[in-house]
Amino acid sequence: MSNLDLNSNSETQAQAKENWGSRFGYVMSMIGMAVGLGAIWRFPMIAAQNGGGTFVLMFVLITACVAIPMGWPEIAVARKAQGGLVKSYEMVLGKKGKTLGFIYSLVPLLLNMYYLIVIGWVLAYTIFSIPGSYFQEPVAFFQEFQGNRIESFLWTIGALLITTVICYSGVKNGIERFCKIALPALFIILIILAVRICMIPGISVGIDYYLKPDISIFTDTRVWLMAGSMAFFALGPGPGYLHTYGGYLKKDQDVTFDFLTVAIYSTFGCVLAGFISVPAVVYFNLDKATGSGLVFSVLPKVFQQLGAPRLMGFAFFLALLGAGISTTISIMEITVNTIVDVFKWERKKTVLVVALVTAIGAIPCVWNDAFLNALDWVVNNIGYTFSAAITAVLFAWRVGANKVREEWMNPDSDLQVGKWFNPVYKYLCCAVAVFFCAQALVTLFSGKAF
Amino acid sequence: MSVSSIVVLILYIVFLGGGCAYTMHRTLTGGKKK
Repeated sequence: MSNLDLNSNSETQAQAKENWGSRFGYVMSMIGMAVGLGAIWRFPMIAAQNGGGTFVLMFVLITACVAIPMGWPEIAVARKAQGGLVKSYEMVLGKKGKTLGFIYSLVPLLLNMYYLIVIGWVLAYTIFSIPGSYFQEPVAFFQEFQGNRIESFLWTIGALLITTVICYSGVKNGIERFCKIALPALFIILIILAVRICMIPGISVGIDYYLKPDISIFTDTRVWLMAGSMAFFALGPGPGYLHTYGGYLKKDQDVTFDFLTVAIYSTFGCVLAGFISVPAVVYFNLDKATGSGLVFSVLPKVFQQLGAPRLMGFAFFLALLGAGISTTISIMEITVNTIVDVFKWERKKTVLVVALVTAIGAIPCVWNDAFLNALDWVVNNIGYTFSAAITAVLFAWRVGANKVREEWMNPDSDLQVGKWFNPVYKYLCCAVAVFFCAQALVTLFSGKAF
Repeated sequence: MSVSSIVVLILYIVFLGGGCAYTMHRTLTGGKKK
């Protein structure tokens, strides 16, 4: 065999497209992408601070009306293009689209540099739950743990290693296999914990706070904004999650019904996670404004009241770890998929290079809180918001909402989306996406960003 | 628990619980494409 043949063979191998092994595996991987720290950590925290039941209802409403219609086209374009970000936008915009797709993929690369730090903390707390290290003085323990930067970095590397091993194993043998086990286990653990917490005598006062809608809050635009941004980004429209996983679909696989399944499970995961934290925080009169420390410094106090705190803590942090890792692998996969498409690198080599870049990028995030906060703001408010808005406007107005629906979404899908989608996508989704961009710019230029 | 909380809880169980059960049933057993 000549050198030329060998080169062409290796290039073909590098470009060989992977597909999901089964419909169940694809749906579980998508749910894993959607149900991450945002669902189990951020959602209960924001719900507790913003009126409980009213916030949850707003969240469900916006998910149904805006987030689902925004997600369908992103998966559908990737299925049609049979590739991730780069191939999808190349199909729509030609060579310019390739550049746009590449720029989008930088957002998840930056995100993983600090997201993995929190996953590292969760990994540490899962292990700390076995001896019960953090139960004596949860707040002081968390502050001391957070302050030890070297330890924090080592746990980050641990979380990165788990993510890398799964991505290295491939889409079918790594991501899909992990999610098929982790996601059902995650939901079982969440259900058991929620039921246990709801059985505490007198907890109904907390459940009331979490469920009972307060009509007066419905007129509060600030709460609508919080619920909107939570719902808008929970399902991942924007910087390539849906494109990347959608690109691994076979040409005749369903788009619309499966994403509806993902949206319902993602919402269920959020609501369920809320049942674990919010009623207990209200009932035990703990600080609702604790913010990001809710999981690490407040919930251990709740577990202590339940009996078998180490088991409860271990189960909770294990569930959180599963949710977090299923998201970090989807984040890493976007960058890997894009680099493979653009530079035609071999997948395994690409995973290792992306992991190395992520580890290096995590260093300033671990040691400099101001840098981490600034990066978090840029990724969420510029990266996510603008990529989601550009995509929605491009697809709805340049390609055309009707074409997107008839030629990309509906063919071979179990759920045939009707003409109602056209005005919803064209006006409602685009307006909401552009509104979030404007809001981000106002915050940036008013100097309140970071 | 207040009546309105119970109503909301029932709605969540019916729509979210029912939605999860129905969609997963279709994913595992039915639908045009398995």
